[in-house]
Amino acid sequence: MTTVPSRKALRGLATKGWLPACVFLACCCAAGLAGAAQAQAGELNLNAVLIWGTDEAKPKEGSYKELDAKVKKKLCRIFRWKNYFVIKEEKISLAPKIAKRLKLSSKCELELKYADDDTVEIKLFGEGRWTKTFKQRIDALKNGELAVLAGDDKDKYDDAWFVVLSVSLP
Amino acid sequence: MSKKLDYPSSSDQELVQNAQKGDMLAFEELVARHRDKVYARAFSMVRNEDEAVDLSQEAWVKGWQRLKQFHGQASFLTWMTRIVINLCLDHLRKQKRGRTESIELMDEEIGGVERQMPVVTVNPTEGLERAELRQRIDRALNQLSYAHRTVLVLHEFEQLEYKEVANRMGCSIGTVMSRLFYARRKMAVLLAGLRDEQKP
Amino acid sequence: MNRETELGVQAWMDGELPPTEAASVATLATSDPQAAALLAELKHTRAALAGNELERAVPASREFYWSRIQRELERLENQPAAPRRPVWLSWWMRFLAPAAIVAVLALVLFTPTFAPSSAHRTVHPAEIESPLDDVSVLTFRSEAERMTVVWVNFQ
Repeated sequence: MTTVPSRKALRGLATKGWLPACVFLACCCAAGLAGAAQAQAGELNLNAVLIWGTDEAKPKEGSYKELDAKVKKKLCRIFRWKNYFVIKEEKISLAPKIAKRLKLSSKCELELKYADDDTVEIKLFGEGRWTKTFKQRIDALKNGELAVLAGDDKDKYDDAWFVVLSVSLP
Repeated sequence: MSKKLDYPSSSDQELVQNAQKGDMLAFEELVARHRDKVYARAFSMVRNEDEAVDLSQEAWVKGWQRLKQFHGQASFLTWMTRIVINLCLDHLRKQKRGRTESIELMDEEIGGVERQMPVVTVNPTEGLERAELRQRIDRALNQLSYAHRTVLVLHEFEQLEYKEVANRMGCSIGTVMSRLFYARRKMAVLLAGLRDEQKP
Repeated sequence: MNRETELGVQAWMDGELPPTEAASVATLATSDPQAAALLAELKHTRAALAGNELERAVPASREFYWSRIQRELERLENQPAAPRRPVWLSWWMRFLAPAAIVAVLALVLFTPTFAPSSAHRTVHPAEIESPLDDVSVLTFRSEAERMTVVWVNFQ
């Protein structure tokens, strides 16, 4: 059975109770909406692949996988090497504003940061030295674009290394 | 004109004094100088490389924030080590204990398991090279529960008294004594066991 | 030996017993074979551990390790300090806040409609820093392959 509050009680509620209640409810709604928006921003899931570019055939020793055909095709159109072998592949999940490191080899480390809604910041550490920082547009990555870091292989003449970053598919 | 500080050859005291005035390069030199030891202490407690890196970096950040509170009462490294220990303890408390932990702690409370361990009469260090002994100790430490390993690290490696260990771990002195006893007895058995493995 | 005695032997070895108890435990430790054996084992273990912790190095370069610390320190330094709430703000919070909150809600609800679409923004990587003198960098973008390349040349 519901009770109808008296006019006096209602006035009391109006002056004492409803303002805080209204503020509280409004805050909950705002927080809920903000949370939903934040959930949309969420984490950024990336794929990082360390690749060896060479004209040599796949070595028998070692566990080198063939590179994904689509990515290989792209690299072949731009770079001169015949073969591209995967040395290491890693997935990484970036929360907003938090940097994470990724060790792809003893000579190649990345520090990745989901800097803001638009960009991911990538720091390359080569042989322990901070070598380069650059930003990549997230919308480009989400549209299927690749971010590629590359350079000559110092240990093997005429070969090259590549790090290909892309957004992980769900 | 003030003399420019040669960071690599400056003492910790000079670097700390400069860092307390806001010189981040001086602080960076301190980090470079002591990072391995601070990291190693974190690793000894959490036994996970990534977590130890994160916790040690967090300790350095806290160190910078609290630098003005450091008055040289202990060495800078000791002071930083205390910070990272506290962070590790907080971190470990938040982690859910595994089944192994619970069983081990239960055994220790009952006081049964170590009674079944016969007293080890051989000296575990006898005939061992230091590097080999350190490896064995590390392997043995890895087999302890976090609570037993922590009390051992704090008492044996950090040289804290029972009371200090109890304060930091948030338990009674009696619990510290029990855990330390269990940990030592288990280490003796583990080291003897590792020694026996090496016998031809 | 009961548990209490065993812990007493340990505490005596560690110098944690008050003088009144230390003497009796010392006597026990030397006269009772079981206590003596336990003490020997505890001493061996303590001696084995002393100064024999495995040394470990941070599994990251100096710059890498420092870069994260530095970033966090800079972030903390750039955070504005929270000011004390003035009286007029309390008044505002009490009477005008509900209306303001409704207005904010409306903005949150309708803002995406007016936000510029990100679909047509130009896509170019921005170089930020190249800290090493012996490293040159070439950046280019292939529209056809939809790929941005940063070529790092160590000289």
